[in-house]
This record gives sequence, C-alpha cells and structure tokens, in this order.
Amino acid sequence: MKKGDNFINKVKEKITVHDIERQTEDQVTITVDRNDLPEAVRMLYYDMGGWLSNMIPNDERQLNGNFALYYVISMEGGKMTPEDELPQEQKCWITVKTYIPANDPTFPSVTCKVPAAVWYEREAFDMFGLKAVGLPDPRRLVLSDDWPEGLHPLRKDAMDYRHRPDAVDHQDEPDYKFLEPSGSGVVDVPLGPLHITSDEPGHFRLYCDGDTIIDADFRLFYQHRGMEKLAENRMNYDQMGYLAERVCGICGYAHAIACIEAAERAVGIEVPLRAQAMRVICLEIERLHSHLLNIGLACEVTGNINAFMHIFRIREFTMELAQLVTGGRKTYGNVVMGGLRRDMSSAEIKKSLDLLVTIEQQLIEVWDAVMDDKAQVGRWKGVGILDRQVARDFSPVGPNVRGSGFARDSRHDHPYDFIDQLEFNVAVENGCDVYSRENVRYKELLESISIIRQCFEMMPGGQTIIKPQTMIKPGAFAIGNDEAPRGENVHWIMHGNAQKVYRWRCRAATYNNWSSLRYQFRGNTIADAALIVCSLDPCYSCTERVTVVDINSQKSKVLTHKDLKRYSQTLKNHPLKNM
Amino acid sequence: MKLLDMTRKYGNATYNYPFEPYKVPEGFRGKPAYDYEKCIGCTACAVACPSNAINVKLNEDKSKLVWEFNCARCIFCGRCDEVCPTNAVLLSDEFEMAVRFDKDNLKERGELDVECCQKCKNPFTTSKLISYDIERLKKAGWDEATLAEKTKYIRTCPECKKNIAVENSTQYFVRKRK
Amino acid sequence: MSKTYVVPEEIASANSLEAKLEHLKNIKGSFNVYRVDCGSCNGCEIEIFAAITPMWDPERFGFKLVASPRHADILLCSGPVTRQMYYPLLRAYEATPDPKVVVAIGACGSSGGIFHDAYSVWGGIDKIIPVDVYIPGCPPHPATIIHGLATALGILDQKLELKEHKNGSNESPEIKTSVFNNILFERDVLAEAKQLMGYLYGRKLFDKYIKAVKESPNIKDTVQTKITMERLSREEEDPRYRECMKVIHNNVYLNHIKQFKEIDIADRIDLSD
Repeated sequence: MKKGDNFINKVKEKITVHDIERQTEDQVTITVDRNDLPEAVRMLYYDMGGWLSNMIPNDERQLNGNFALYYVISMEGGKMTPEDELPQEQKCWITVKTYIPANDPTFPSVTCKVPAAVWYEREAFDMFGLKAVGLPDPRRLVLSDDWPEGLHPLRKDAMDYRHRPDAVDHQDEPDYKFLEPSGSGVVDVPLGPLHITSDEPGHFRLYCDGDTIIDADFRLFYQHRGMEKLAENRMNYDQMGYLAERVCGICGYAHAIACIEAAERAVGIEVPLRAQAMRVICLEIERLHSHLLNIGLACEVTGNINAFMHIFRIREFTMELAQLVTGGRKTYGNVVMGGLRRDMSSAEIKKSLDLLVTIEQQLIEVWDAVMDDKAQVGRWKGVGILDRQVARDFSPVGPNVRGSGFARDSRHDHPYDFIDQLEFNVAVENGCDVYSRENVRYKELLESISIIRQCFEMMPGGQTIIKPQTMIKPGAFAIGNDEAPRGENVHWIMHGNAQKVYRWRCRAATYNNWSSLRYQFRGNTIADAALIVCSLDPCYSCTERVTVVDINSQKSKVLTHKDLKRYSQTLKNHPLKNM
Repeated sequence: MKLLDMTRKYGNATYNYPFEPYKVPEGFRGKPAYDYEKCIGCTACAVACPSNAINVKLNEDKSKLVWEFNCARCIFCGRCDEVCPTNAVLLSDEFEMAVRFDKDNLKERGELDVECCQKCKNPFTTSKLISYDIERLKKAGWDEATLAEKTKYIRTCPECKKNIAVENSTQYFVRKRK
Repeated sequence: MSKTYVVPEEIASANSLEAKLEHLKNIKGSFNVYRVDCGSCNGCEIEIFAAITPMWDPERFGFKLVASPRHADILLCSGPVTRQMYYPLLRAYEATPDPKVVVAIGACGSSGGIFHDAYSVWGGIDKIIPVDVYIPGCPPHPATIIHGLATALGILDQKLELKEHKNGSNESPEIKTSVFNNILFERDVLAEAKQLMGYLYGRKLFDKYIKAVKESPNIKDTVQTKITMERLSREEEDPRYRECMKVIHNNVYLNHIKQFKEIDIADRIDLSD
C-alpha cells in the first residue's frame, strides 16, 4: 500500500472516485464529480486530519475541453492534541480534482463546509470566471477595482498578457465594498493603503466600539502584478526562478525554491546533494533575516526603538552572510532547474561559520534584554489571540499557527531537500498571542543557526547542477513546498510546451494567514491593531490613514498613520478624545 | 536597561560609506560590465535575460546589429555573465549606479557589423561571430578541406540552410520514386 | 498605449528644472522623504529600511522619513505601479508640496523591471509621473541607496553615463590554443567545471585546472599527468577546488584520453584524500 491509499479508500466508501493519478511518492490526485467536491474535501479535511494548502483553478480547455479545479490537501493530522498527528510515514498530499464543463463554469462552493477555501474561490472567479455557487463572500479579491467586469485574465483565450485596459481618472477611483457589521454605533477605522513604517500597501477597515475592535475587513492585492500570466507567456524555465524570487522581497528565495521544485518533481529530477544542502542553507539564511526583521518591527510598533535598532544591527550580519555566499543581499539568484548555478567555496564557508558565531551571541544577548523589559513583554502578552478552533478552520501556517500550539512545519511534515538528514525541533508555543508568536520566532532563529551549521559541516561534494537536458513532459504537474519564514509556501506547476509552464500557481504563506486575521483583531484595541498585523508577519503591515467613526457619537475623523503610530507607541492622548 | 549597556558595549556600528569606499565580497553581483572588444553579437545574453534588460536588434537600415543594455531594468541575476561564450559580459563590483534627470545615462550600446547570407544576401548575423566561428574551427584541428567546406556552411543563413536541406532530401525522394 | 495620468499644468509649471535645482540646493543638509510602495515586492522597502538603521545611517546627511506626503521634499517610489496602486500614488504625488523631487528606486521603479510588460502593472514610475532620479538595483544595496540620495542632492557625483561603442574590428576575440590541439577538450572541461562549481567559480576552476594540466611533462601520458595533478591539487588551498580538480581529471581528461589509448583504473585519482 502506497502513501495516501488509506485515505483514498475511505473517500471511496462514500464518493465515486473516477481516477487516481500519482505524481510523486507522496502526491496523489483523485478525480471526483463536480457535485461531490465539497464533501470529498470536507472528509479529507476534518475527518482525516487534512489542511488546505492550495487550490488551483486551471483552464484546460486546450487539453480536454474543460476547466479544472485542484484542491490540494496536506494530510498531517488535525493536531488539536499532541496525539492527534499522523505517523510520519503516512503524511502526504492528496489533491482533489474536478472538471468543470466550459459551457457551464460553476461549481458548488467548498467554503460552506471548509471555511479555509474562501479566498481561493474568490480568486477562481476573478482570474477564471469560475463561479462558486453558495460562496458566502463573492466580492472581488485579486483584480484591481478599475478592472473591467467579465475579463478574466488567466483564461487562455481572454487576452494578451500585455493587455492594459485604460485607467479611470484618478479623481473617480472606484470604491471597494467593505463588509460592514450591522447594528448602530459601529466605528469604521480604515488603515492604509499607504503607510510609513515598512512593507506593502493594503487597506484595512476596523469596526470599533469605543476603543475596542469588534470586527475588521480588508482589501489587499494592491500588489497584484500578474506574474502567473507573465510566466505562462514570456518566461522559460531558466528565467522562472528569478520571477518567482520576486514574488516577495523578504521570503523570495523560498518562492523560487518551491516553484523550481514543483517543476522538478513533476518530471522526477533528482537534485545533487550538494545543491540540496545549499538550498537549505539559503532558505535558513532567509529565515534568519526575516525573523529578525519581524522581531525588530514588533519592538518598533510598540515604541521600543532601542531594541529595534539593536536587532537591525544584528540583522545586517545576516545580510552580509547572504551577500557572502550568494553575491546578493536580498535576491540570491542561484536557482535553476536541476540544482544551483553558484557554488560555495570552502573559504566562504569558513567565513560564514565565523559570522554565525557573532550572530548567535548577539542575538541571545539582545533577546535577553528585550525579555527583561516588563513593559515590552506586557504589550505582547494576551494580544491578538488566534483561537485554536479558528486556526483549525482556516489552515493558517508558520509562526502564526505554531504560536497557537499546532506543530505545523513543512520541514517536519513534508521534508524537502536535505532536511530529513538534519536534526531540529519544531518550535511551538501555546499562548496563542503575539508574545507566543515572537517566542516561536526566536526559537526558530536558534534552530536555523543550528541547521545552517549542520549543513556546512555535512556539506556533500560532487556536482551542484545536473547535466542540462530536455526533460519537460507537457501536462505533467506536481506540488513544490518549503517552509518560508512566514509558513509553508506551496507552488503548483503544470508543464506546457516550448519550455514554458502551462499553469503556475503560487500560494504564498501569508495567503493562508489573512483569512483568520479578522478573528484575531476582535476584542483588541486600536492601539494593538498594528502590532497584531505585524505579529502575523504578513509581507506588510499597514496603517497609514485611519478613519475612526464612533458609534455612540456618530462622528467620523480621519487619523493619519502618524497619529495612530504615536498612540500605539505611547498609549497617551487617545485620538478619539476630542470627538 | 540592558539595551543601553549593549549600546555602550558595541559602540559605533556605522560603516563609513560614502566617506570611505565600501568593499564588497568576492563574487558580488554588481552592474554587468560590457567589453565591446570581446562581444561577438551572438545574442545569447538577450535570450537568457529574464527581465529583457539586454536587447539585441538590427538598426533601422539593417547595416548594424545593436547590443543595448538598460541598467534601469537589470535585476542583477548574472544570467548574461553565465551564458556569454567570450566573457564579454561580466558582473562587476560596481554598485554606485544612480543617475539624475536623464535616464539614458543608464544605457550602454555597442554596434556590430552585420554579415549577409552568401545565398540570399539577407543580413543574418555579425561578421565578428563568423570570424569567431572560423577561428574556433581552426583550433579544433580540422584539415584545410573540411575547414573550407565548413566555412561555406557558416556563411549561409539558417533559412537557406533549411531550404538546401529540404531540396536535397526531396531530390532524393524524387529519384527514389523513379 | 493605454490612457494614463497627465500632469496638470499648475503642477508641471511649479516643477521646472530650475525650481527643482534651487529646491535641492536649499534642502541639502536636511531633507524629508516619503516612501510610496507602488506594488513592489518589498525588497526595495526592506533595503531602504536596512539603509536607515545604524549600520548605514543616512541621518548623517539629514535624511528623514516622514509619515505624510504633505511633509515631504522627496518622494521615494518603488514598484512597477500596479493598477490598484495607481490611484494612491497620484494622491501622494498631488499632495506633496511643489517643487517635489521624485526618486524611482529599484529595477521595477525605474523601468518596470522583470514585470515591465505584464497586464496588471503600468511598467515603472516614469510611465505615470515625471521622475528625477533613478536608483537601479534589484533590490538596490543600501550603499546604492545612499549614493542615490546623495546624488539626488548633488553631494556625490553620478558615476554612470551613456556609453556607445562603434566601429569595432571584425577580428575574432583571442581564442587560446588548446592543450590537445583540439578545443573540444577545453569545452568539455569548462562544461564539467560549471556543473561542479557553477558559472562563477566554475570558470576559476577551469583556469586552475588548465594551468595544472599544462604543467604535466607529457599531457598524453596518463601516469605523468596523474602525478602532476595530484601534486598540484595538494598545493591548492581550498579543499573544494582540490576535490573538483580531481573530478575533472577522472571524468573529462581520462575520457578524452580514451581516443588515444586504453585507460585503466590506476589512472584515476582517488577522491577520498
């Protein structure tokens, strides 16, 4: 019996499974009827301990005349209790696939049974015009507000990848419809889309009663750049790694690896051991600088600039480390199919080991000092609670879910590359709050340093890249995964003709974390909003402009980011005081 | 406050750049440096470039092949460096790249003479690429006769080569049918 | 070309080159910067962030990040301008007091970068609003950012200028004579070296190997070449090069020798020491 067969047999008891297709040892795809889809996903998710990792709509009309949907479920156990985890040899990916006829592009929504699917299904409509019937929240998600209705960019026949519809006059920017809680006296607090501290744009609406947030909604995808379409049309496999690396400026390398590994797995390429070890090293270096960034920011938004500066000083050492072994601080530019295109010399390894000692020493020192600060710890404790049941429903990933006591880590559940030869612990905390999440990050920093050391010590010899040869099989597809600093990145690639992908689906870690954010906001104060967003470590945290509407006085006021930030940092002079 | 003690312990951490030069490690990926003397106009870099920062095009009257690099679009991946057969493009240590007001200052161009096909007289590659090919063939240890044969082949454009091949094979079919 | 923003007359006239240069002269010692992220990947943001921390510290020159475009002298824009960020960018641009200096940062900001022709972006800041200073890089190094800002203010000099090369010779670049009088050997060595150590160090490995093999008294004599190679690889400081030189000997050199004579197992170099 192969991996995953036990789950598929259980599904078969209730549902007709038309086809079973195995991509790799631990990746299986089952095809079910359109109407059986929600039940099949629900059974795998709740009854057998699965988590929704990705959902891929695909325009396969050129291949078989239909659209297709792939729900990727990571089978690893519910993890609500320590015993509730599948044994290591049973963990696998099961993909539920269904066809949607081209003349009737609708499917029953899975969201009603598995809430984690909500964003995926909204995106399926935006990009492909596939309508999820019964989807509770069918608003636009990905495309810009001025994008014409009915033009679905990822349909193969929709448009050229360079097509740019005219923008409307900037005075008449279209509005986005936010979900508003009913009831009198709700305060509406928009944050964003531009703000000063860091990162990317996004727009938040916080609904408050006095100082307390009772609900929230957000409009993201200010950065939708159309990469998936770009990759299908302009990029060949040698170039894709660099595009994937630019999905995100902080954890870009994790995307590049996930993307290239998906392509490699689809055709069964074995990567040389030395390249595997170096991929792991670069991924962990990325985790080092990303976690340091996040811990630094979590100090900064609560006003602890001193700690922030120290942490960023240490972070510069990790950047130097990256620059040393890859030639670039942020974009490592060494991923290609079949290995890596840049080796590490022994001289570099020696210098890196020295740098690691410095980083480790100073990191322990600064963390000790931060923990010593009662005011700082006080601002983190009990804030932004991620309830365990909410976490189970929405499949969040990374330190966000590990701070709520779930040992979900892609390195542990679905080991990739060199990882299964290394020793490391999955950092888990049970507080469910910001404090726990930052603690998880600190523990992971130390683990990362140890992983990098182990890799350097065990560094295998031999090739860094295999012989170039034609190896693409059109139509073959597979999942590529890795643990980015923010959680698991899951990419899905279907090979096409002429050295190009037929479909590339890139699911970033933060994508899974957003849906639960709304619940994390509830019950906290406006002052903590920035901190909560920051503790998720989204690829951005966004608080430029805040309109506060008080329910009781029915007045509205626009706050600048500065006001909000000042208030977050000092907790003095409440911005609503004079209303 | 332990943090303040740390500040005293580590003192001044700032690099003295720009008052002193900043030294980058070996293998730093800086601005691609172009060596016009070495460039043979094979277009490998333009094909490889993921962001289309390097473009190689014929000029308007089709007399020159123009290699153009736009630093504004460069993503410093080093693909051009990797694929260049003559090391004409190598990533340098240069990181001070900002320009004021005129974006054209980020560009670099090189013009190469174009060679026309012996048969159809259409331009198809650069003269330099052909002399490079011939030079390499000479060093590959061929005898004079083979060399002459191969040189003739090199001076024919891919389109004509294809036509010749098709003609030859169809001739063969015709003969067979007889 | 799709329809986009046209700079209104009053903003254009208030932002003439003279006005900007005058303004830049006045703010040399202290300038306020507002950052607009127009859909960049975050890399540029993070490097700007790294640039304002203690290690690089541009506050030495009077650099200050401000929280509102209304306080800014300089707009620091990154990203290829996604459709959704087009409107916020224009709001920020119009809110900035005149004369304003716009700095485009990163490959995306300067020209759209790798995304330059995608459907969901406008392809660079200068497609939408006039840009004064370009800081290329993907993402730019903090030192590049500092140099860029200093260049904007006229503190440091610009290093790059348009270069045009014309009328070069049509002579082939020099091709080194092959050690076997057949460049296919060198070609295979380079290919193997690149597979072993990637393109960058692979080339160095190639040089080291060719230099070593040339020292063999008789290159076609496998015994002598092996002894030379063993001696020279032992002298090599870096263990990684040491290992790879031996691999090339076993995989490429011996394979090439096959066409002249039989090779036996003793010709191979033992990799273990």
